Amino acid sequence: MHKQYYEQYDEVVYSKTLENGLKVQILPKKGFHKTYALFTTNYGSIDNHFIPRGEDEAIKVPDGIAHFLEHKLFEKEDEDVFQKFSRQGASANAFTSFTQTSYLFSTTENVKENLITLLDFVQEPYFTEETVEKEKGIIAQEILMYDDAPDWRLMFGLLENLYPNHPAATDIAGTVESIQEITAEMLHTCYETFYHPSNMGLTIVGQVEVEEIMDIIETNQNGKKFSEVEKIQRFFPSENMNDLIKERSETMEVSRPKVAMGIRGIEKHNYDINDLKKMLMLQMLMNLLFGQTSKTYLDLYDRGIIDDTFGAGAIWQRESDYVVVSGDVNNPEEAISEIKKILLNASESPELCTKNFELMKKRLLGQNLRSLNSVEYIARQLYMPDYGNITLFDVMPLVEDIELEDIVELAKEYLKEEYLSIYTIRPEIK
Amino acid sequence: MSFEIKKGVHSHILVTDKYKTINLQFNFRKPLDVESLSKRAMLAAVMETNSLNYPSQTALGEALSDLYGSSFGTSSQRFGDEHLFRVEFIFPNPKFLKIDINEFYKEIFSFIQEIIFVPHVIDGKFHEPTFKREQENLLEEYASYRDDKQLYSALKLNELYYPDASHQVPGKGRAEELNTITPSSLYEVYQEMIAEDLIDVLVTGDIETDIINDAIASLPWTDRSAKDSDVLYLQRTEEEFRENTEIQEVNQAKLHMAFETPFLYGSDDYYAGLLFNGIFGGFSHSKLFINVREKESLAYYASSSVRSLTGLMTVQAGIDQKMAEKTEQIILEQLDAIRKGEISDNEIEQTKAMLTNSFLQTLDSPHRSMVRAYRDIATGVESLTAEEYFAELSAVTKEDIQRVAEMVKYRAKFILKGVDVDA
Repeated sequence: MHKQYYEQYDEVVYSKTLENGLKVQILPKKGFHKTYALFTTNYGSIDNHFIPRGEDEAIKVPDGIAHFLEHKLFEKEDEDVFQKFSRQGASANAFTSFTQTSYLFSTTENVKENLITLLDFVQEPYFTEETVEKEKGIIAQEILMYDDAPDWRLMFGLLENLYPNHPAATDIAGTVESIQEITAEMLHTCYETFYHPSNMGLTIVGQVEVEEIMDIIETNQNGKKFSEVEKIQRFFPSENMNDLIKERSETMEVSRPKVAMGIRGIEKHNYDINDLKKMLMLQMLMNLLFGQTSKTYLDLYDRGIIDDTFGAGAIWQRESDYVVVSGDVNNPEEAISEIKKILLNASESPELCTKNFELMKKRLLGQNLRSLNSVEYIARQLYMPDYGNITLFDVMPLVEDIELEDIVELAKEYLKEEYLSIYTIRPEIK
Repeated sequence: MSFEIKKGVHSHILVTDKYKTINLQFNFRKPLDVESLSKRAMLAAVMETNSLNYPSQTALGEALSDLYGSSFGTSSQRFGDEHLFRVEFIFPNPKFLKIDINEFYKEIFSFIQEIIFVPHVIDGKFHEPTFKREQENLLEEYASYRDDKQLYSALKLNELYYPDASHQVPGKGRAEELNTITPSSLYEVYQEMIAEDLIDVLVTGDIETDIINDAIASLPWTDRSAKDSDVLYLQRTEEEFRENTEIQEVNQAKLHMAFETPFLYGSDDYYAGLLFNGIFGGFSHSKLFINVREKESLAYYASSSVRSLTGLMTVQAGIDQKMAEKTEQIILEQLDAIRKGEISDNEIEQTKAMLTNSFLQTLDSPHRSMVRAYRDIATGVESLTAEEYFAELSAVTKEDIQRVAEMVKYRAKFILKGVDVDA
């Protein structure tokens, strides 16, 4: 077991990769009542094209299957796993993102018991045609709920522009139509391929006895049979940047127009610390341009071009990376024109100055510190396969290494007009 | 530890070494009236945006960045039958930053004094451009409620359930009153709040009580006549069932039901009420979750929640609109089942475990632990330790739960649905 002490934060992380490939990380947190455990597979909504374990031919599965699988794992022959956790005093949940599916519980008692339940329920799937059919109704309602949410539609509208014909733009839950095609057999295929422990991570944060917990995990895992560790072959469409859609809009029942603008990256990911560094630089760039010390932002706000709903940031995950700016606006054309100017001339922006840069570093240091108050946050940031073998503790040393010149260079290289896209939602004219 | 700083101004220091931050919460409380909703929402907006010596968001942003990413926020809300204005600050604990600790404390209290006592006021009026812009933003926020279908439905239900305007109107007010406020009348609202409200300052983190309390006491507080009004909302008296259905272009219908409940915060039945709500629709093992979502696949979500300061329990479900009647029926059947005593020992045990879990988790969050502590301070309810809380829950019997279920009354219903395909 590897032990890493982070003196600056007065925190320790214990880690070990088990024989079956499972990556375990434990951060003991004294004084906290809550223990939070997160069991994650490096499999999400984008992984719709792959070679199933034990086969030679690639297959494509319907949209929304990773999310569907997440729902179904909770249902066992004798009872719903939520009930079991509840009885053991834990509250459980799960979520599916573009690139990961996570199962978690938080509890203030019976940590060992709940941990075993977590490992067992995720590793003992149970799907029948009946249970699969029944879930379609529930998930259809979930999809419709999101279809009514304008901000959700705004994001996906932009993604569809930036990544046309690519699963990075597919709604995580799929569509009401696509989920009808899902069968129990497909769920098994996806499960066998992606839920192998070597493709997964287990993180535990809270007031725990590390040796004891690691022992329980190892005993549990050694008592089960797993197939060989195999690299999973996933396929993604080769992209033609000319397919990028520059601008689209739709109407919805909203009170005011909404605009989302994004610029995507075009370089392949390395899945190592360089990816994390690049993402941090993109976030820092957007922070400088539009964050709390930005006079550029203040000017837009004071002129009523944007308001408190405005947000800007950078997203980086497996198979996609982009910067995005969005919010409610009164005049879409005006907002788009102004923001476009800022983005495409970013390397010359007065916001990219030493004073702002130094203030930003101070700010990031304090915010990073503050995030350590949350056991959930820590647990989610310990296993981050989108960046390789990285944890949240690697962030500040990287930030300290980054210079203003690096950000300016990145602005020139990344913020290009040919990779810019705009999505607008307009109110219906009654 | 609690201290009286001035008449009507108290500090409460909660020392703990488990956080990396120092968190302060300033609470201003007064009796509720409908105009205060808009007035204090405006005050919260302008005070969060800038101050006299940090006259722009950028200047404020720079000051916060310089304090190592500190942050603060204001909020204005209904609090039972009273109004609560809150300013909350989060500062990194300087022991983790390689800097002079005493210097840092001086800087943060200087910042606090600026935000609370030196608003952006010139010649008896709030800075006009800031005022105008925040007024517009608030008006736009009111208009946006319609975009969040669940929120919208909840607000419509309030209109049906509560008989008085101060409870029917959304917590941040409405255009009607907002449009009558001016930069100078807003300053009067501010002065009134500083001079007359009941004030409680809570602090938590790895701090020394004396040092922090001295710093808080040195801020320019004044005495005020300590009139403690009742936070708890008096029961509504209307008997008539009220309902409304609205049609919008939505894909998923919303069913919202309002019930009057007697188990207010601090009452003898409060713990029985917590168990009742947990079993009914408060957790994923609850009757609503199991019977509405899982068994019948009728809804993606079906849950209940209680506002313990006003005694309103709401049930919310997102459903296919053709299923509205059926869903309502099944929900009422679950209430009936509890009244009849169809509650297993398992359900009771699980609910007790989940409630205890929730309580303990609150203690892990600086913000939530202060919110809980403040609620006890304002209602005069004794703050319990985890053991005492668990003991209260343990003392509740199945008969108690049945009894409170009998007292629950179905009062109002709101349905939001799409255009009827076959009307």
